[in-house]
Amino acid sequence: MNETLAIYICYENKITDKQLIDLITYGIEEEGIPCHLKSDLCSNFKELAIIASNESQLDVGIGIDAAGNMCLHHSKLPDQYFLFESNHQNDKLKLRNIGVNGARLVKGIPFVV
Amino acid sequence: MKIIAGIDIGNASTETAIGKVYDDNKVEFLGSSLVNTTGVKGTKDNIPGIYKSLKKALEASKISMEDLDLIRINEAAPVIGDVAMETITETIITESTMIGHNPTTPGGIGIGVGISTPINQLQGMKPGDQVIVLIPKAYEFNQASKIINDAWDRGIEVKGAIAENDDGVLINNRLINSIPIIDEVNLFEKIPLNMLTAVEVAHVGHVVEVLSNPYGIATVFKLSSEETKLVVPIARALIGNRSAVVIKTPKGDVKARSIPAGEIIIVGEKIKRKVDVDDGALALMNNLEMCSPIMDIQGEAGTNAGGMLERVRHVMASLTDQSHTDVKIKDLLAVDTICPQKVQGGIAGEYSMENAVGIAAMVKADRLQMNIIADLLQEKLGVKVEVGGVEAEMAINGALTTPGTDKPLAIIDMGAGSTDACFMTKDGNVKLVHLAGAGNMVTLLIQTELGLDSFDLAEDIKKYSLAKAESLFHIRHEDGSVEFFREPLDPKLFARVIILKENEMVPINHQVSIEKIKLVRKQAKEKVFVTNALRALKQVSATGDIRALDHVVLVGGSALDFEVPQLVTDALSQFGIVAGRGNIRGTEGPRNAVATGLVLVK
Repeated sequence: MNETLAIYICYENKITDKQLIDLITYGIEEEGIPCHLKSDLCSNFKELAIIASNESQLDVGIGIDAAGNMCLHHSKLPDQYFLFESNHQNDKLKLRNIGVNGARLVKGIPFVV
Repeated sequence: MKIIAGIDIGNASTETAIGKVYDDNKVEFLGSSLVNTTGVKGTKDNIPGIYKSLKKALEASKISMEDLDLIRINEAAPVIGDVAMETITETIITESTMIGHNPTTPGGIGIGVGISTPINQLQGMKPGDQVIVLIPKAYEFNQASKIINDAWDRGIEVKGAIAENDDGVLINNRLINSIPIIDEVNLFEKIPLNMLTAVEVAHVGHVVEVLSNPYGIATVFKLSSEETKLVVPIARALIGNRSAVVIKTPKGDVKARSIPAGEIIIVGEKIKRKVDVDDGALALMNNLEMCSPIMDIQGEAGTNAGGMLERVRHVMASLTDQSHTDVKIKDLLAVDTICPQKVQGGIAGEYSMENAVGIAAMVKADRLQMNIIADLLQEKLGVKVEVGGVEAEMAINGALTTPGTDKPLAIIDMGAGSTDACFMTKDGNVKLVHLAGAGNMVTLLIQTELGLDSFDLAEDIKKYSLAKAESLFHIRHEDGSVEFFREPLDPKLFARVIILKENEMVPINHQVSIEKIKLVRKQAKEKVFVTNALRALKQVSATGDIRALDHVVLVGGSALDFEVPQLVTDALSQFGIVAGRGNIRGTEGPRNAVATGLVLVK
């Protein structure tokens, strides 16, 4: 059975270089929240984020497509409402912050901007 | 029958009332208005504000400028005030002996003691050495944790770590043995090397117990009883933190010292006294009362309070074309407060709560140039303009239109720059005082106690109630009630304390709890307005005793505040006084008292 009590990161299955995703998981880990990775056929980062958040018992998911677009979603949010839509392939700190903010959404403490 | 406009130019707002005065002296009010005052009260710069206010009131009254028979402006009480803050203690760390900062996510739990050693010198250590490892930015957490694990394999006892990056949890998760790790240290390069160091991290929701206890520090560093005395300020400064570092250097020390804040000279009619500002607010206020009646108050040059006193004097001198030496400062309100100050010599940007004294001063000149303004207005508008009677008398006449009031009556006019009080006896005799300290002083206290950068933010905190955005869909108001929204809130507001302005929510980007802000706000209002209400009423009461007064009406801008009137009402009820917010003409609330009084002049 899948580990469900975690933030889900759903990435397009064409992504082979996992380094980018690792950086996001480090942000989540530093905040002390578990996370779980999952790949999918879907190629739209928003849809990926919706899939991720729906599967997460914490209701929080992150979606990333092969082009490096990413965003954060909460399954209780309306389907057209995404947090921190961005493309930060080259910015390590910002990538980590996406993870930090996902964890903070769970913890209920202010986001880092 | 005549149509008269009464215009009151205040420090912060210009108000107009328009009324039809019938031949039998009956008055029917047509409309009123309130706009911001332009320029400093009592100067030509007021005219645009006067014009705007008048136009608005005319629109509300559905009449035009030509219908006016007379405009009466107030003989503005020539009073201005200003505020300043003087910090009187400071904390200094010599040779970086402690880091008391609170990273949001330190790693590990417990206390570790060892010699501070840079990570690249770890391989040079011998088995059995106890070290606290220093990890600079250049080392990724994977790399750092591997080096530490390898060191353990060789028998080097790594007891704790200090990291420059926000990597504490990540490093700790990759270690064989969990150790306390402090991260996010800004001035990392200032940490002394090869010194005995203690690192403590408490469990989430707990605070450090060993390093916040003098005997705890003494145990860790094997101190004598003499040396233990010296570490008391360190322990004190670390109370309430989740994580801390203490480093023992030969000359390292933490000192709490008082800053000479200068003197204030109070010149009374009979006696003259010099008071050190660092003696605190109570000493200042006691001496002030002793010297009463006050002729003048002078400050020492080169200090904040001294500079502020001279600034007020200067502004009033240039406003009234008087010489600098002729302007006298007649009152002062000093309030003890605390403010967060950056610790001198700290290496992680630590703050410590220091004592401070807030001071408000008030200057009164003989008269402002209201006649010049009246002439200019008359020329511009083509309507007869006259200067009305004493402002306080007008205010009482206006306040008396509040349902349920009668002479004898006292009013407290709570503005932005000064608190004025006035008492009218049964036969119409009037006694009045102007006191330093009002709305601006409250804002200054809120700003310093919460350590805010901007005066405007403090002003918003003073004026509006608070809430916390508990999720992206709902906020919890400061009274505990919850409000839901259909549209998600701005992520900037999430989990923050927010100010509920009329059409806008403003986040407060400081780590302060809603309870703390609420407490600071309420105390600031009490320190200024309750203190001043009691001081003012004592001075206008015929016997010098507050109990001689029966009815007190609160008017002015600060009487509109959502909690000031309650605080004052509550304090005065203990003296058996009926006090409450005025309701001018039964419709205007606490505003428009002077303007209304100006129309009512017979």
